[in-house]
Amino acid sequence: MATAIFDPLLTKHHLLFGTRSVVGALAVVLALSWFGFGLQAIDDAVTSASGFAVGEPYEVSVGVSFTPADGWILDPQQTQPGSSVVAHKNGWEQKLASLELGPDSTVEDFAGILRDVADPSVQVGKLQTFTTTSGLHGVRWEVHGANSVDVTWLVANGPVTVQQLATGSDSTYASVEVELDQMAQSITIDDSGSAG
Amino acid sequence: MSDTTTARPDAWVPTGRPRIIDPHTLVFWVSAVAVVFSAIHLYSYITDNPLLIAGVAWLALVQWSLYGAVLLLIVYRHQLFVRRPVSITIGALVWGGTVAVYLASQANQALESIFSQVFSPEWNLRWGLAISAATNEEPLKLLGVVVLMLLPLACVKSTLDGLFYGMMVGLGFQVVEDYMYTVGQAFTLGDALNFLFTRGVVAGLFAHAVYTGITGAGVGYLVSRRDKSMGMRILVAVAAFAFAWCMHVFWDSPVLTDWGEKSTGAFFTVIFVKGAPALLILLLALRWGRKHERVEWSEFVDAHIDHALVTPDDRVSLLDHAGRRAARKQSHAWGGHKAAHARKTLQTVQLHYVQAVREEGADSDRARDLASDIVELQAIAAAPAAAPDPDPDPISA
Repeated sequence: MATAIFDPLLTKHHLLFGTRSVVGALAVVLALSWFGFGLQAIDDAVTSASGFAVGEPYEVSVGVSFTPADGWILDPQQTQPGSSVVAHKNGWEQKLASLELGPDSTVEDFAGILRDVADPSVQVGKLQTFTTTSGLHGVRWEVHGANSVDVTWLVANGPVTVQQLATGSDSTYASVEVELDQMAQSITIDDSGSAG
Repeated sequence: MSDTTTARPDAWVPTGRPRIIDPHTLVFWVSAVAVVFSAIHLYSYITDNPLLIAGVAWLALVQWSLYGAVLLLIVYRHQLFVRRPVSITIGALVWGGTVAVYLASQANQALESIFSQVFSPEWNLRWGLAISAATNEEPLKLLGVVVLMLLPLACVKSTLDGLFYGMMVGLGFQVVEDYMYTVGQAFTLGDALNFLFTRGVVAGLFAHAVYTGITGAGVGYLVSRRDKSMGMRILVAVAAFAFAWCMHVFWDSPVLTDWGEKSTGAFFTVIFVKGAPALLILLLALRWGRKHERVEWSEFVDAHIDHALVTPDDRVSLLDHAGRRAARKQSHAWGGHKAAHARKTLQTVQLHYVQAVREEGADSDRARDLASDIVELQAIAAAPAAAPDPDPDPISA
């Protein structure tokens, strides 16, 4: 029968900085770090890759924002912080920009919007009205080219007008149509907002 | 090799009385920092909630503490041979209720955000929540068992150790998570009590304690069953984890949820269908673990315990609860209540004696004290009806 009182503290395997102690502690620290910080880092990377936080409003300019739909990737090259936002998905490009009309505004300010309408090679769709989730009224129309579609939404609140222009192939239009409309409906313009 | 084959009894050396305070191991300090860090964050999370209702918070604290204490008592008293140290049991509860809960909340948030962006918010609501909860919570809880196994002085090294401490980690997680849900979502005392009923009484049987009991048993099997091949041990541990993960996802998933809302009967049916498989596997693991523990305990008693203190008949009767009850009945037939009481006390002291010899050796003070108690109790338990009252109680003495 064994009679000795075993004291693990006296064994060489039980040292604070022994191999087993250090390796075990490192493994635990690694595991804790993964759950505490690693997943958050991946989430941050995924978020920054898209440029948008899912479900969070994105500010186009001061007082003007919209909520990006899933999968739309911010184009940092074409985006001008504080005045316009360009995003891509599935071969489609959409641009949101705000414009503040004042006493000095001219019809040329709308030249970009009217450009497509003036092109005889395209077919302009019917003008539709819609209301954003914040209660603002807007108009929407489609312009169909040979293989492409341009869709424009205009929303106004006081002197501020926001234009959302989406361009892409007509073959993939169905895949983004609902999302584009949802993004247009998510546009908000504060009364105090001013366009960049 | 059969399932009940064990390590050679003669390979035993006393391991010392298990304890959780182990300053000579880095894992102990890492865990202590993690517990304090998580506890502070959880406390801030609760107290910073502007909608916190003091009455609800206090009721939730009391009700979930009592709930946890009742479950703890049930599980603790159902240990067959070994009464695992209270300090290590509390350590397991604390890990589950602090580190696992806090880090899981952070990790779940991050993974759900990733799911929302990679898939869609709708998909995340339907499946992402379930998958992220199981994917983060199960490993974090299991890590609590692994931490205990990495503490040499805690002596956590069997399938049933893994199962028991896994259940304790899961119970700690369950109680704190339920408390957080209650203070975050209940606005009246009635709401708080409703949480206790739905999350505690109805769903509690099938919740975290069960999942982590299964995964803990798997890791316990992996590290302890050296008589099995490494491949088999890894397979069992991975299968146990995979099963618990799947059952956790199934429980949180939208599958059958709509149907369960049709009636009260449907609700309970869904709870049962989603929860019973995990509970069943836990009970099977407990049964298999006990079978092994029984053989190992028997072999140890045969090889290292004085047969005058634990006779062969005593050894056989101590192997399960039914045998212990039968022995008490037999003593009762000889000597009435006093003898039956003495027999019950004798059985407890014999179990403690075997554990004392195992941990500290037969020549330790603890073992010697218990041995003298056994001699005293044996005279009473086996005596005829005129035997004197077993007083004082050797255990309390």
